[in-house]
Amino acid sequence: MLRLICLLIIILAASCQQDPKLFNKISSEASNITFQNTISNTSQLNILNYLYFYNGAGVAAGDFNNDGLADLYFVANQNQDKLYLNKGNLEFEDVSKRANLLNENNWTTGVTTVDINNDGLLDLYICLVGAYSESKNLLYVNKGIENGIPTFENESAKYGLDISSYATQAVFFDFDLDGDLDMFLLNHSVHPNRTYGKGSARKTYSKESGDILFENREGIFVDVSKEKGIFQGKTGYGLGLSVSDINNDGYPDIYIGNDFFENDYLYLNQKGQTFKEIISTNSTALGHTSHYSMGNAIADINNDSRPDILSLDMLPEDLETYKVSGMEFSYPVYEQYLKNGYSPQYMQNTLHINNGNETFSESAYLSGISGTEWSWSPLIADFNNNGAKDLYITNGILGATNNMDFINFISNEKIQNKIENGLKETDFQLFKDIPERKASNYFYVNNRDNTFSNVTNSWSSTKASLSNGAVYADLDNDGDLDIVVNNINETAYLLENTSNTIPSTNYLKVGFNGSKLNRDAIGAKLIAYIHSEPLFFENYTTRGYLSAVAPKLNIGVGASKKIDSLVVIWPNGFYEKQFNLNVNQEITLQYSEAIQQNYYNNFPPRQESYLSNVPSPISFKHKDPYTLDFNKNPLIPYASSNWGPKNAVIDFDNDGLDDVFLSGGKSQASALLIQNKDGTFRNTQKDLFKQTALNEDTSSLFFDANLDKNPDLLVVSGGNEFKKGRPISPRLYLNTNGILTLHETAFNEIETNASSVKAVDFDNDGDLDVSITSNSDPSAFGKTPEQFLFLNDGDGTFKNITSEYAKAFQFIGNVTDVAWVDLDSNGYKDLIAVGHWMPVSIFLNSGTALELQNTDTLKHTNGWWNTVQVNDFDKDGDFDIVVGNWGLNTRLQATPDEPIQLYTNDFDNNGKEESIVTHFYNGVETTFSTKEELTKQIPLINKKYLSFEAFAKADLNQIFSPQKLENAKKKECFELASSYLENIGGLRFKKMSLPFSSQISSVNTIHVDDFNKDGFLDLLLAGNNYEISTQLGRLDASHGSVLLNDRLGFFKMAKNQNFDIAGPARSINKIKMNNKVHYIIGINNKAPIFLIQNE
Amino acid sequence: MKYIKILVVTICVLLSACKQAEPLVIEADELHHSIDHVIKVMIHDIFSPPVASRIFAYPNIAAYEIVALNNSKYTSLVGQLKGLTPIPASETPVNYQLAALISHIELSKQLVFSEEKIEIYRDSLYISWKKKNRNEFLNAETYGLQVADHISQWMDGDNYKQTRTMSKFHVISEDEGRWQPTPPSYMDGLEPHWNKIRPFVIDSAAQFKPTPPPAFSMEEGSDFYKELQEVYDISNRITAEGDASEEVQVAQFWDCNPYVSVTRGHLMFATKKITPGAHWIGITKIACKKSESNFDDSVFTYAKTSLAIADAFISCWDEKYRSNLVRPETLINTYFNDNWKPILQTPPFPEYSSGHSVVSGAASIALNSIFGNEFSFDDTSELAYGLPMRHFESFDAAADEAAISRMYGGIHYRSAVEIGIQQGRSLGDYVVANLNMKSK
Repeated sequence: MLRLICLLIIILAASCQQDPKLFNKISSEASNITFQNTISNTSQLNILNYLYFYNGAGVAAGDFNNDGLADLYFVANQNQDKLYLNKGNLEFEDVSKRANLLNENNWTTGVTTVDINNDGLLDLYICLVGAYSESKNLLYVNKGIENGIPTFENESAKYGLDISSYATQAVFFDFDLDGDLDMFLLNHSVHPNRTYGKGSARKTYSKESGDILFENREGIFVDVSKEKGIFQGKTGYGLGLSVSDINNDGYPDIYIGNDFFENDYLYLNQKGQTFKEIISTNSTALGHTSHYSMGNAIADINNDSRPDILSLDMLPEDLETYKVSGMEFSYPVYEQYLKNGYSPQYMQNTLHINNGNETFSESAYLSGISGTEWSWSPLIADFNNNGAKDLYITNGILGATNNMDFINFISNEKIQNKIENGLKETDFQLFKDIPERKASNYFYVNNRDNTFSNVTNSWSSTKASLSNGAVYADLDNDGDLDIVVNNINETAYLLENTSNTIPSTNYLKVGFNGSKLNRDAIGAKLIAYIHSEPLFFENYTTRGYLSAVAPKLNIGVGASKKIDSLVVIWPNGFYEKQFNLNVNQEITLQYSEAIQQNYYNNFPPRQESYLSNVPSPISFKHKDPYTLDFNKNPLIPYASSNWGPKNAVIDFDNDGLDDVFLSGGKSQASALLIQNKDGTFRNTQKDLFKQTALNEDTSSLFFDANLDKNPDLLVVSGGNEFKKGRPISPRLYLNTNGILTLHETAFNEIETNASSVKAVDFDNDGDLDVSITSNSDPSAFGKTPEQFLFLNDGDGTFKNITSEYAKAFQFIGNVTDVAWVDLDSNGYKDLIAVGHWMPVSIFLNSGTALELQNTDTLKHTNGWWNTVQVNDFDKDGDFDIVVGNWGLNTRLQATPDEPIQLYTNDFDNNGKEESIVTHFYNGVETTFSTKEELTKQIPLINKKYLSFEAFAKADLNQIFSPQKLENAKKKECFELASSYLENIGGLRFKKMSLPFSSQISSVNTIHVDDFNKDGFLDLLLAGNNYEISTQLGRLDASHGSVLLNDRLGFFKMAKNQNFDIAGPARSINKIKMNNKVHYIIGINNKAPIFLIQNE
Repeated sequence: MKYIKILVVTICVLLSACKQAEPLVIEADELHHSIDHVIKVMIHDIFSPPVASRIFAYPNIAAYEIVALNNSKYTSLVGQLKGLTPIPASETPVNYQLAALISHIELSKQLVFSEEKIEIYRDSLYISWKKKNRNEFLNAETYGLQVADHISQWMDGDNYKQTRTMSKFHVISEDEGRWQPTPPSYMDGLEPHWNKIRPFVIDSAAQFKPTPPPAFSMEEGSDFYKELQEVYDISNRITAEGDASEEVQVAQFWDCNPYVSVTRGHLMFATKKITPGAHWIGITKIACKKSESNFDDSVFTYAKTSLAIADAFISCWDEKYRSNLVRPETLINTYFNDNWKPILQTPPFPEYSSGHSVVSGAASIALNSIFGNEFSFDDTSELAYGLPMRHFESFDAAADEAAISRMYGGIHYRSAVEIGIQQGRSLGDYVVANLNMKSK
């Protein structure tokens, strides 16, 4: 008993204590760091005449006095910068004056560390918004250390770096690998216009705002921007800057984050000769990027030795803040914007996972880091020293100028007249009316599966702040990375990392002694192998927003006591390997000890890929006109108009060569292409298909309809536009001696907006019957269309017997795809139907009827399913199901408890039904549509909630009335993950979400094959959808994915996939060309992609 | 002592006389104030010009029908406006002017978003009326609400609600002669289905369909190209002359854009102004005051003018989404100068014909029919928005200036303005000829 009481007391006492956090905030009293970035609007400079007035300033860490301790340099926007020397024990001393660091230019932004003259003394490059006042960027050269104090002199003119522009930050790197450090200067536009105009403006020249690439020519920095292909337009609102060898070719590449409407830029270094910007030239390589790009960071987050790109934006995590913020253009206006020469961008953080073949999969939603409020610095580093890199993100804005109430109401009443007459100091009160949005800085721990978990509260004592520049540095030399943050109007933060006190976390600190012209080895790479897992690092100092880290690396090792091997690749490609290194020490790598051979030549990247792209042997390009679904109904989450193409492959002319039927979009004739012996194709019977060009063909099928042994062709159409008539009639073409003729009467009795067509002998009478499905009714979003089953009487006459044979199937839902297999081994093929707003549905075929099964395990599988494949994947003798879904990489989530719901009702009593789609966000049911779109449809809502704030606070029942919601027609979606349903017997299935690469986008088509020839069936998945609400972004992260059967009843991602299924894929067909297995991938609105299967 | 008694009695009598309610007298000014207040709320709530014209029309009709029922000088609009049925008669004697004002306020409240802003205004009036004469007020309120309800039911059938759910305007970007969203906010095309709103007087939205604009052509020398060039040239000339130039002043005076999006530094906001319809309602008030129109005459004047304005919008919007013509800004940015900005912000709907021209044409004809075409006045409607007063010799002169101001502003070609004002005047003539509001 006493024991129990004791225990209780202990527990109680423990619970009273604050949990120890990973990071301790060191008080300003203890550290002596009193710096704060104080800003106040003045009549010369304020938020009305300088748009980046609230963006904050940088901070740099580096050992300026060579005492082995990292010192700190803080930039102040308007006041004096400060240098603090590290005295040990996390105590600092302000030596700015003695060090002759007296910059108090108004306005100062970013800072970079570099040893510009390679004298072993660390220098500073400071960026100014100088074009206002003709002041120039500063190069503070460290002239020597006396009594432990370095002194600096500005020598920017001597190096040709005395630039007067609207500078953000600089990065030093050796782009041409000639041994010395060149520089890229990121400038920003102050052009206060949000008018996007033409994207081609990026090719014009702006002296103050255009970015500048400098080549170091014997110590003089020369502007080579133009010849190297750098964009220098006035639309470059450059806020984020990172350098990394993105494509692992040894040459460093550059990523620029541009604010507002301008694209980000990813410059791929063309062997030092020029740079090729790929975001503006290839909209599929990265897919979408962040819209209001702030700071960015590049580092390998998944230990595959490929650097990934993180770019921050201002998407609020908080739902109310989200709803009062300005959101994306409506779909039609967004399309205009893209046509003006821009690539897709959305307001969200973006994490571009590097696929290793110059394609990237943006996964921020799936990775759990899409919205972190108004964000500035991303720091990617292994904060808990466990071998996987974590995230720290700084946040906050003094004036949230995107607050819709401020824009529409508050500003108007206060500013309207004043602004025209010029603002006086006394008017600055109105700046206080701009809502302040402080937010706490976020910590995310790496889950080692490409996702992160928010650990802000367990890793730090949170407090809302206005934090901008931030760096990591091991300030107390204990082997873990501490954090320093530059705040607006608050003392800088110093966060002490206590990972060194956690048992079984080890580290290795690495310094560099580089070549003569690059002593700090900027650009060196490090790969540390721990149990064959490579930990990959690059040595650049420009990190975080406007900030710079010391030229040193800290490797978190985890429990391992040894590093199996350590590879250093010096900037010029020379390399060195060391083995069996002890942990918990600091080493300095010597360039002089490197193997004088090129690493990239000696170790070319592995290229084993099951599939590779090959040039298309045909010129056919699918064309689907601009979708009108969002014009008809702006409240829908996705359009149903871009379902094609679904092609069909067969040896049509029986010459041993595969031929292909390519389905055309609306107003585009489909085509029958016959393969020639040399692997080329000829287009035949053009006139036949021209007659039905208006049809948007959504699915096609070769099968022998009339038992004459010749393949006939059945084509169905959709497009979600035509409500009746020829354009949505199925077409049966009969094959006579290789000539197709349209059957005048077959299937004439139906008109359907079709999604799939399948042939099956469901009555076992020896001929092939047909199922035709439909996923949408063009008259209303989500309305249930009719499904069809046709019985073949043997000579090619088909009879609709749906209501007799499969009554439950007829109106089962919005069916996208079906599979026919004999699930119950009774000799008759059963039907598995999938679709949107409906569960995976099984109909058992008794030979006389298809009966819908009430299967417990499938009850809550309502999804937005697009495609289904059935096979015995685990070789246990029964059929398993693979189903493609919407994926998990958007704002939307769905579970049985928190479903996505479609309510259809006449919410405003205007005699017409509106469809409202809701989803749960942090436990709250909410619409994804903006207030603007909702009130255009239902003006009544404006009566109730004119202000965005009131709307944001209102719950769904208040907005739409409980009765209206209660009485609405309802459809639900419980599952968005593409899934594997393992048959565990007795029509029971175990549902498992397919791996990461299957969830980054929609899966629209699945091909089953044994790619690795191990006797187990693997999967090739393809997807993406562009026609979705702009509030949900766009599904474009998939580049195709091979999932290998792990022989244990599940699938794993194949490594080294160097093929690229770019764009919105709709179908996969296997086709033999030149005696090799190929795949033809149907892409909506694009030419098909051809892949070859590597032997 | 006796005298004292008498005194007491006298005082009592006097006191009770004091307590006797005085009759409520409603002057024209109270109507003007009320309409001014509604305009303020409309500006706050950001109503587009066509929607604003509807908000003016129905309350004025309600007030007018009450006046017409009680003042033999005026005849009811029943049988003249589509679907309007007779308003109920009051069961008890009622201060009809008070009832007319109350019905006006109540309907206006229904039509705006920020009801509470009207309620606050209304309640302060109601309290003072109630204090002065409780019974008279309550009777008028009951009746005024009854009529407001009657008009409201009629209003509900004008297809407004249905047009909310109709599809957005489809931007045909492949055809550069067609309208595209314009800078800086690239808003969707506004009210593409306004021609489906039930008109008041005209037969149908297309009754005053203007001749088509010059065929789109970017060939130098074509009529269309010349008109585009003219907009660009005028803009360059008057921009060079600066803000003091007469044309710039004219353009700004008649801007009447309810939502001009402005970006300064990182600050985005909207400057909000009255709509073209509200400007003409303002001129109507000025004319009423100058002519010392009484309450009933003012109600009549507002009603007639607002009917002309409302039908003018229906007619104009019908043409806008028929011809679907591209704005000068889109073409000038593409062909002449990608930095060019019009002096006025391009409003978010197709170019042809000019809304302000059509509406000004129609409104001026309605006012001519009441005050004659030589009625000079000082237009002070824009004073509240920081713009000066302008003097006009006639309503026609004001309408002409409003029309041409759209060219100076760089948002319309000449045809839209010249044909637009004709369209408005023909429509105005028709409205005037077909409305029988005064007893013969």
